[in-house]
Amino acid sequence: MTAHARLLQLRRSLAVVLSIRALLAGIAMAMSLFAVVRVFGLPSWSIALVVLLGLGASALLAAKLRALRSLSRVALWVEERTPSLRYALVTIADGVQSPTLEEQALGTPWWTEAQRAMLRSLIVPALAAASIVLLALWLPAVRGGAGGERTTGASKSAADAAKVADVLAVVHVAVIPPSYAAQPTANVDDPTSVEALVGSTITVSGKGDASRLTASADSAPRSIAQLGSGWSLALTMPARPAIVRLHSDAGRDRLIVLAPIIDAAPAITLLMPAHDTIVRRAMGSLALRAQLRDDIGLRDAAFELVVSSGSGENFTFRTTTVAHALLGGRTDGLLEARVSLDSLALQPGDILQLRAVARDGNNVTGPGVGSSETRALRVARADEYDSVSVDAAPPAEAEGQILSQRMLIDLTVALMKRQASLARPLLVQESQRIAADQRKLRKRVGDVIFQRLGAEPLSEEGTDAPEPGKLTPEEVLKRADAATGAGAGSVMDVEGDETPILAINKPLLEAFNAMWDAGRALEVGEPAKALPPMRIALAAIQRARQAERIYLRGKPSTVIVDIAKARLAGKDKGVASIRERRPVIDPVVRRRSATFERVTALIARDPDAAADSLLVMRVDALGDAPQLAAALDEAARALRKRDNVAIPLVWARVRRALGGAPEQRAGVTPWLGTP
Amino acid sequence: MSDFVFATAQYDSGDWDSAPLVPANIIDTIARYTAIDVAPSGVIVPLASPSLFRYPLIYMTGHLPVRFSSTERTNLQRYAERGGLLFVDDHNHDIDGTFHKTATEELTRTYGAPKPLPNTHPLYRTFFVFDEGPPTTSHELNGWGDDLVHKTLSGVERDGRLVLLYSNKDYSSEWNYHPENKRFLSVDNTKFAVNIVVYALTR
Repeated sequence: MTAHARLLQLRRSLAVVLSIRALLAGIAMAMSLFAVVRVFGLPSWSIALVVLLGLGASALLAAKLRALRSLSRVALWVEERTPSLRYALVTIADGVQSPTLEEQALGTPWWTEAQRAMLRSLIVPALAAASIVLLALWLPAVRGGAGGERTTGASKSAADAAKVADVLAVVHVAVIPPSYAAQPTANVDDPTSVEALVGSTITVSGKGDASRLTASADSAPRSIAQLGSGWSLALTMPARPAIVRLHSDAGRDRLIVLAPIIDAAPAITLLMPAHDTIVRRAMGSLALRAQLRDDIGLRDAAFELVVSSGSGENFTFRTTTVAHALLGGRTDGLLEARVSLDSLALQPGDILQLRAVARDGNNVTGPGVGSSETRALRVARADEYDSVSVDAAPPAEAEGQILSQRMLIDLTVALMKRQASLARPLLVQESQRIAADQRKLRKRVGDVIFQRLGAEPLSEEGTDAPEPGKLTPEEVLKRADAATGAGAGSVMDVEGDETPILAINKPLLEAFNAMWDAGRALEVGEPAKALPPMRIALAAIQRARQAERIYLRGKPSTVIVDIAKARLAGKDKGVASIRERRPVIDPVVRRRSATFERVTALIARDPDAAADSLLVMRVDALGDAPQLAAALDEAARALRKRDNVAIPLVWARVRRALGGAPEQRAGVTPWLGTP
Repeated sequence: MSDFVFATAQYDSGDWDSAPLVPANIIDTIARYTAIDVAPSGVIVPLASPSLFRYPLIYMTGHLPVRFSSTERTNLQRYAERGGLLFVDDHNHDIDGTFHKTATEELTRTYGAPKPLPNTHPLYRTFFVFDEGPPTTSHELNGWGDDLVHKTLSGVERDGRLVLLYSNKDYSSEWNYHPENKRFLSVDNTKFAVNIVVYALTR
């Protein structure tokens, strides 16, 4: 190989080395600037600037490649390192060809030295670049970004990588309730606890590399899946409260409480028949009605009938179901049926027991089955007619106690308040109901008046005799005369123009007549017009009472009780309650209170740890102290958000829920007894 | 240990002495059913007097308007703070009567509004058991007064303990007879008074 050819080969090598040096310098500069950006938390656009500066640095150094265009400069670079060439190589580079020069240029192996020099020139830049890259990777704030870069691939920008520096920075929870509940999916960000139906699918997710996280549910490890650029943990809501612990490789923990909601069994109330009954003959039909309720949704319901026959030790049973109804997930409903007792062919001694049963749609832990209380209908035997109480079924409505005038006024006022919202037929119906009670009360007042006059009471309710309308005092006297066959007025002392008997009964008569007006207004559905006469009637009744009430006043002699004689002479025995001590704090409450105080002390040092401790307390309280559990959840959330306004408030709430130590009061005067 | 002394409240307004035989009757009942050391006669305590604080239970009744003086009101408030029980009974048995209207106004100003006591209240189990709540009086059943059978008593509690017990049932009429006449009753209608006294002494 000629010297010229060797020189050309060296130029190519120099070009490669210079390019590598420029690249290393650019990398070193970019990485050092990138580390600065991450450490100081500069905005994301500064990452792009870093890249540009790195490229600029490389380009600047690459400018030296221009010098390689001159072969003489390459030869001079060699001559500097091998002076024994005495410019022979420079002369050849200038295009002079001579065997003497060729021999002189090849006489010394300058290319070996040139290669060494080129390698030496790469050592420093390579070391510098490597050091800077290592330094940048070592810095904690940058480390996450580097990891994120690995995870998301080279295409992911540096800005995205920065977001997942903390894989637990954002935790998202999606709750999909069981299909039978027909409830929508719930999404929650950064929850401290998740409340959902047992069997719900819970997906906890976040951004970052799944390999940087570990998870456990009640200490049992759970696997975390990588889903695109984030991680995901799939769980199922257990039947008992549990804690999910997420632990990142940065040493950070995140606790989430799983608080299960138990699907309650349906609640069934049997409305009809109202109570057990005994009949002589089971005939006709029996109305059944039940109210059904469920917290999530009812699937179906039916009445269960059991007929037991026989006596002694020989009994037979028949079971049947009637009025089976599909309820399609409704949360409440009414189940009604009518059973023909004739078709059941009940014999004397037979017992028909019936109840309503409903099932909910729970196909995860259920179905929940609810049933009403059982009613029994028994057919009496002939030989026990004189020993059992035989009631008709369904039972007759118990006759309500006759209402007082004051109560009737209250009912009328209440009806007036609802008047605007009631349809006219319903208003009239309710008004007539009050009118019926007013009629009964008027009859009682009339009975009092006429019995005092020696007459028979007014006609019985429901008889064909017409109800007397308004009466004048003269008419009252006339009736009394007719009833007794003697002149009631004539035998009485007369004072003024009134008999004493009328003077006493006048207020009652006024009440009697006012009730007539009130009753007529109520009959036609005019409660407002009924109220004034009703109040007149009440005032008149009060006057009548006052007229007859006599208070015996005067100073009675002082009574000294003979204690010795009376002591324990009573026939009845009672049990005195002993003086109650202040309740001792429950050990569980005491333990929780102590834990809470420790958590309170921890807030200043490590609020996140304190929040986690509150969540652990919450799991403990979920079973027996729901109010405390709710307060603890609120406290943990406030603590995580560093909400300094809410923290004192929720802390007070937790303390109230915990109860407190009994107050000790000093200075209570003892009872001294006899003055 | 001192004897229990039954105290009747004397207030400036109204007829505070309208049921003069009630104290003797209750004292007799206490002796009849319990071993409580009880003084054979009651005392009359002015509500404005500091001697009020010497008695765990004060009985107050009347027909006429009740208007507390400021001293009476202050005294009653302190009495409640110290654990005393004021038992007020409407001798009119009439929610439209002047005693009820004025007394509830005054008591509300002094204690806060009385609230109905549930029939499960310890008062009804503290000695004799009254499952149905306060025993009905013949005056209610006879239709006197407001013609209402009052299903509950009302009261004000502090720290889980009654400081005011208010009745519209007219126990003052029901119990206002000489204790010697108790022998004519098939059922002693004053037994509820034992519960009130025992409650006041044990709570």
